[in-house]
Amino acid sequence: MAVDVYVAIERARALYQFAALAIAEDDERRALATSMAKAAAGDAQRIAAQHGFQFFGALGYTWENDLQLYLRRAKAGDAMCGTANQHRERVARLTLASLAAGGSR
Amino acid sequence: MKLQFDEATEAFRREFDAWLDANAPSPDEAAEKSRSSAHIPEWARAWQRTMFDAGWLVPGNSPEYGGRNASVIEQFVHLEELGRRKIYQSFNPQGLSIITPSILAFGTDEQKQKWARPVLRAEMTAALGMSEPDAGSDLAGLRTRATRDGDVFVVNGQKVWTSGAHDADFIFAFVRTEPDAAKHKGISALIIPTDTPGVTCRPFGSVNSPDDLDFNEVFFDDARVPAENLIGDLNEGWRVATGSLGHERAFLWLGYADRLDELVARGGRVVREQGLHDDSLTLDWYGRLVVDQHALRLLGYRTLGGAQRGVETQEQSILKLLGSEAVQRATLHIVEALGEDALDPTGRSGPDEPLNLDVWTAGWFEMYLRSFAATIAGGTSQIQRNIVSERVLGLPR
Repeated sequence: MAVDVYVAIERARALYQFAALAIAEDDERRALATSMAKAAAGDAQRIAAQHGFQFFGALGYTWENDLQLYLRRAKAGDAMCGTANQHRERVARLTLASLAAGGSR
Repeated sequence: MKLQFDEATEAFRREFDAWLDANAPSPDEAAEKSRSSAHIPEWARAWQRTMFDAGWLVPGNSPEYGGRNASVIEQFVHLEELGRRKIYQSFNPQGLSIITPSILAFGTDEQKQKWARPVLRAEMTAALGMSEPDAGSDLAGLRTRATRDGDVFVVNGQKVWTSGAHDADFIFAFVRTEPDAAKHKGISALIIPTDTPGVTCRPFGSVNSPDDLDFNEVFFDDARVPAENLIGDLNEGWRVATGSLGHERAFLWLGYADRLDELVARGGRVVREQGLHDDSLTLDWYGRLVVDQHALRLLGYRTLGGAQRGVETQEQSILKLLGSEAVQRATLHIVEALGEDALDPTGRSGPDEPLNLDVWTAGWFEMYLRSFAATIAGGTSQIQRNIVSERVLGLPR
């Protein structure tokens, strides 16, 4: 379980770095890159929250434990500026449109 | 900052491209198909030799072994171009990518000439004898015995899943030479020619077809193998098994990245043809596939950068997990999107690629079946998770 959280975080990290570079360079992939980053970040928060509660057991269900702080922050982050689900759909539409237009990828 | 290679690297790429334009076989020449991972059709033997002689087969090797002492990044660009052009580096992939690097790293000069050079020149093919009925993911549990008797080792035991053994000239086998030593300590690497009396290779079918013969059971019954075939020191086989790949490990993800590129392109075609381009469930899995495709390539480049700087990482386990599971998931979704069309036995998932392995353009149902190998072969997903949890996260065993 811990490894799945780690992989999800690394996946999101690589994509947000790519998005930052694409925006900085005004690269034509910046819209795609931004949505991929937001989608991957949303995936990571979901799996981290899910497994996080299992790691902490009942302790994670208390007010005193900091887990609730991270959970609130992560869920708010996912809900703002489009959820992971919405950004996955955008990624799919952008890619299908680019393929239909004969773009490489 | 731009995400691109420097000019010298791009010049290297152009040189290789020009050479491929001038030398790669035509589709007509490449008609005969490979039947197992140790069977190289005649045209492909000649082609592999041409690459060897020009120093383009394994550029990181010295010219004597089919290379040009290329840098890590150049070696990567070479594989990238082969992948882009759908050219299979060798139809004996385990020989080229696992066995010859081991012999070149641990063998004597005489052994390199006798075994590594012929495999690189496609004059011989090789199989990898690791797994046994009771030792797969736990390789150190292997029990095939090799007992010294004068100038020979007498080998008794059994290997299984030995890909291509029935077509191979020799098996690069891991055997137990010191039964009383601790598990990892009593293992040695031994080259066992398949025509040795007492060696029996029995191929068996895969989930794809009873005629898809690559897997073998290999039985050793008092097989007498010259002691000079020992690769590396006696009882140092574990080091050979784990240490031979070196920075080649930093490239393994590229195969999955290329497959994900194909799945995005071919899957996109399927989505449009099936009229699913506005279906929200379809857009969800397709979007995830595109995210995985990009994440794998970005993380792969990060690993490559580390390899260039000589940084030892365990990231290849993360890349394999991510890549193999993404390939499997995407293939299933495409098959489901196709519905009955996926079952057409004459269907192909892509246009012919004569210089590549035939199976990568197989029909979708076969692609689906074959996708199950991804999370098992080369260390199961469970083993990869163990590696990451112990070596990256520092969790107890």
